[in-house]
Amino acid sequence: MRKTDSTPELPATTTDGMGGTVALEVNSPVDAPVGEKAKAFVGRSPGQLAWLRLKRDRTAKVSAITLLVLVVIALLSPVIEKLRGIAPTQPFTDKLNDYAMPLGYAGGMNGTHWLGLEPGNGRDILMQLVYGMRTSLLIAFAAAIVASAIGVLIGIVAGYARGWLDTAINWVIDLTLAFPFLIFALAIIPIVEDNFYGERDAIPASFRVILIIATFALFSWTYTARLVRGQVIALREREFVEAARAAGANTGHILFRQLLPNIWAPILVTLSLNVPAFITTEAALAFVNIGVIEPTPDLGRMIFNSIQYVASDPWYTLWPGLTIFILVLAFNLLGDSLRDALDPKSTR
Amino acid sequence: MRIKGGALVVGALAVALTATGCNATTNEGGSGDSGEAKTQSGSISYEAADNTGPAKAVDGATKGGVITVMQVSDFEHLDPARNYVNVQQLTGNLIYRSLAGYVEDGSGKMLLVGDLATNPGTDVNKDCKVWEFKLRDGLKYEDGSAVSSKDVAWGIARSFAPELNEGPHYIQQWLYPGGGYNATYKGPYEGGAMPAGIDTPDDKTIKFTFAEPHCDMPYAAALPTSAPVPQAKDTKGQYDLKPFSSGPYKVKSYTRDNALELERNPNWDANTDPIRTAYPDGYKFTFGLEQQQIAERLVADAPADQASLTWGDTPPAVLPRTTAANVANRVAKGPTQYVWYLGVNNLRIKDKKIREALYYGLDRDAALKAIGGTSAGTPASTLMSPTTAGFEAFDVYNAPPTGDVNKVKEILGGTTPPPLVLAHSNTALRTAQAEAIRASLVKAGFQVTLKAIESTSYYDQVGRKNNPYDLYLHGWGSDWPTGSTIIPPLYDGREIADEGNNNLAYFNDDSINTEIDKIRAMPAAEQDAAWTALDKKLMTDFLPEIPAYYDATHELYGSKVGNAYLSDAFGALQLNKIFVKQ
Amino acid sequence: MVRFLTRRVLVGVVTLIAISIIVFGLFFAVPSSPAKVMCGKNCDAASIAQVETRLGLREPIVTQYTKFMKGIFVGRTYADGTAFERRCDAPCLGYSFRNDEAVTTILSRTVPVTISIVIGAAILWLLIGVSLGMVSALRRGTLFDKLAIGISLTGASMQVFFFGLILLFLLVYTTGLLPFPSYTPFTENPAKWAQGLILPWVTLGFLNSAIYARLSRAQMLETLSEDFVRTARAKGLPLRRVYTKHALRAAITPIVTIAGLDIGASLGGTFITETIFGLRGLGKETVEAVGFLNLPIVVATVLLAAVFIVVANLIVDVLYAVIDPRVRLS
Repeated sequence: MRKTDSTPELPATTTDGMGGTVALEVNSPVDAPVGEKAKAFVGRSPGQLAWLRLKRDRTAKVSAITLLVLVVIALLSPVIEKLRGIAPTQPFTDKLNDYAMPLGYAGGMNGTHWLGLEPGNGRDILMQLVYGMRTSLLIAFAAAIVASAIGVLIGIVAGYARGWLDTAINWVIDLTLAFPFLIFALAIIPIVEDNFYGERDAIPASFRVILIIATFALFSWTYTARLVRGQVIALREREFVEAARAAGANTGHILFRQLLPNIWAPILVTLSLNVPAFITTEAALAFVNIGVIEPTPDLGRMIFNSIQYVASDPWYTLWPGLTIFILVLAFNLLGDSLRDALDPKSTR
Repeated sequence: MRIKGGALVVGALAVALTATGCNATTNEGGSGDSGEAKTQSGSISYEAADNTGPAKAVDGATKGGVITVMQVSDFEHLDPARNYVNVQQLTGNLIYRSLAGYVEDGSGKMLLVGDLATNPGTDVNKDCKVWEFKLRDGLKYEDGSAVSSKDVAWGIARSFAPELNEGPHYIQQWLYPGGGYNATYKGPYEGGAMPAGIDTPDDKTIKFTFAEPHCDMPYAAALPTSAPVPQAKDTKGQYDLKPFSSGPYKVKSYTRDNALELERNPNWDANTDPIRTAYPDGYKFTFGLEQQQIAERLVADAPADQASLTWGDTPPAVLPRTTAANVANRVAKGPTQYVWYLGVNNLRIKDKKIREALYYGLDRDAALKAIGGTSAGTPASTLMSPTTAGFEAFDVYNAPPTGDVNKVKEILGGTTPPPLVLAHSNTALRTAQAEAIRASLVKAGFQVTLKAIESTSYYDQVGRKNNPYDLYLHGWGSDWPTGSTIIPPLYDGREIADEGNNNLAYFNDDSINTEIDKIRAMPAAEQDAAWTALDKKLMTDFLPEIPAYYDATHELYGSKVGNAYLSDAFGALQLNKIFVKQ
Repeated sequence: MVRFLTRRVLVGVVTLIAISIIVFGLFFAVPSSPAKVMCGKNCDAASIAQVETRLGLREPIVTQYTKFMKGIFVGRTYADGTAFERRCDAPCLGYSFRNDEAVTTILSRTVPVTISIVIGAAILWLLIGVSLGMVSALRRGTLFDKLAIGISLTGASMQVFFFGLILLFLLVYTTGLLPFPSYTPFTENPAKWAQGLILPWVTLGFLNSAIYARLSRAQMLETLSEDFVRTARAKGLPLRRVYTKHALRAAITPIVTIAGLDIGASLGGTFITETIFGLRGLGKETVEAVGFLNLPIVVATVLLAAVFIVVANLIVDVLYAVIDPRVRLS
């Protein structure tokens, strides 16, 4: 008999916009029809079905294209820099007035500076934006992937192991959930940096970025782990697993070749919804001074700096605000569509 | 439909966008001139009229109401022995009285007069070595007991205690010259002995005897360490939280990091006080808001905030909106006695050529714009502030405000300068400023790394003698308006200690040290010109560090705050004669 | 039930102990000494030593830890060999020398602020979010549904600091419709309490109700497609009864879970909301204490936050069993 699990298999959402996702049930394992020629009207695997559904979804298409465009722009930022001949950190303080506000109309927008200049430092907003987006997307994607990888690994082990190992992992999950992320990040980032770098060493921007990714991953694997654990518990008594076991497959094979292919769908959904959550959380880190450090451009820090100018130079607030909003919205929409496509029951 | 939801938010922004989008931002529109630099004609007055209470009334002032002072962070110390920050001293001035104090009206003409004492100090033998102060009649503490000169002596004695070491130590150093101020005498707590050189023949008299002449004694007596602390009320480390009142107000409640409330001290007699008018019934200091929130609230001037003010500089994001007619008349702005330097660690950068190259490489305009432009200050070319007595404007190097890259190349002559580490406090504004400085120096051909330091320990870190940094921005303001509290603390190499240094350039040159001693022995009248000459000599021959800009302040207050002016002595809104408009 | 509760409580206590050890170890590794930060400028070695003695930092970390734990149950006295002495009564979570107050006194000031923010916001987001989600699930495909999805996606894609600041500018700074947020104890003046907190409630409430609307809509849709709902309808039960009695009950279970955990986590400090609206709650207090290396406050607040989460977890588990008869506690 399946043991009823008293620990809810659900994520804790955060007030910063981490979308709550519903635990998904994948109904049937992927029974890849081996050696069987697919007939025109049946025989599509759930994966293929999902892909078809996704392709038909207009929202998904629009948000995917939007994301693709933004990602390409972010990746091409060095090319854009070359083309425009403006570096992201290049100050144009001569184009600021005595109060350090950009001269001219609409936050200094003109043919040279398409989105205007930052007040204070006089940096080109467009260049800060594309480079900043690159940093933010890198952090969000990397953290989401690492968190999912850890979560999957631990979840599979916990689900398959039963007994004391399962209990122990569950307890570690509880522990992680009960530990305040912000305080941990505040304390650990300076400690680690001091240990790795001397007082005069330039701490490379990549190091802080890696630290942020690691901190995010350390606190975000729990949800995926719980999800995967639940799935594995549901699947491990299934016939195909027993068949594999009877055929003499070792545990590793069963875990990663038999079970994992059957639970990738919810993992993918979680991953796609984690990315926007990390983008916004990364912006929140700038709030407590532990975000990406100057002079590396960063969308999160830009948002934090620009929001104070909402009344004095709203154009400065508008561009990064709009960018992060579109990014997060598109990711959320795509994640939703993905879920709908993978789980036909909850389609609109 | 999704757009619609989005439009809600964007719509809010759009209102603001259309409001500003149609007008070009021009150079004239936002010219934030920081006001004329007023050279302080600070003088010491022995006139009976200046030295007698009550303080001169303010036209149209009324009694009553409560003034709220909104601050980002709590005071570090209110204990008079530990009080060495201008806003703390302005606050302390309401609670306790020193031997001397400043009568000000914001015009730049301030007078040093007797506060507890009947005059700013009598030079008994006319050699500046023995100073006598006579206390006024009718001085009372908050419990009604009389203020005794023995309490003043106790206050000074306890300022030697190692655990109360944060205050100014001029008198202390003069009493024990040579070596650290408390190397010999460590305060009254262990054994109860009083410091040598202080006599209290009766309850009204206190006499100081120095080995060397110190003609600055009246100024030093205006610092809070000469405030009376009765031995019975001395709570040592905890005195910070509730100083015993000898002034017009006493502590009603004090919740650290939250709020400090002052209420009237009924035993204070206006007739004994030539400095304070004490119009409001009380003061409330609130801590914990961001400077942005404070400035926005004061700009908005909602009824609840109309009797409020702040000592924090208006943040750059709010500055452009302070020119509106109904806001501009509620701004107190002007130069202060502070100068900001790009400190150069002379222990690491020993070559004057490099410092000269840095002087030309620094984009002062960008460094200022990062923190609000001209309302934050004006480019500096001297070590002493324009507010210093005897100040003379000179410019040895004639660098343009935006720097001169070609000149840097010329000076370096093809040699590669050493890689530099620029340390900065990690607040948002200082970070932006450090990045502006870094960008300008990189443009000039230097290799610069930024190093952020937690703001609470910034000065501790750069104040360590063997700190690993090359450059750091730091500010210094005189304790009284003569060069004697600028040049010696900053450039007397003999004062360099292992930690807690003010000489952040770690500059030490025998000829300068001798010159400092020579000036100190001059008659007061000749000192001002001599300090200016020394400033010029330092700039020309040594360039110990890079003067970056003369500080200016830009503070907002509500529409019900009356007689708000910048204190010439403290460079922030003065509270002594402020009132609430009824 | 009793056995289940005992086990869960025990596990919770072990979790808390583990967290306290981690926090202790973490801050023990901080490079700058809290004594030095406290002692300030011009601090000589002797003064630092004195402050360190007073803070108990000179003892080995294990001793410090056991003293701390003991203090929770029997209280403790801080002394440094001089006349200085401070008594901290049980439950003593430490003594903050910067404030010259017991940490429990500081908590009693800040915790009500955070609780007030969270309770108000939670009521908003549960009422609005869940009902919006449920109704739009029942009216799937209608304009109402689309609008609700649109708003909730917008909300879920926004950040507290962005939305909160826009509200401040629109309602406080520019129009003066609302006063700047402030905290008045409920017992002192309920009207002022609500007036001062309305902005944080709306901000947190709106953003979270968006999340909850999406969640409950999806949950409800899933439930409606379940066999038992179909069965109930096939049996001829009135639609309203099917929805309220059967579907709602099933759909609400996971929402309760998430709400419980969310509320628990928020009670540990809503730092960004508190900062934006200048309210001194648990979150702001803790982050500032980290800056000052005011360790007693940090350790105590982290523990308190963990207690909230552990207790919320426990309550959720119990509620789960009450709402969902399929779950039997064993």
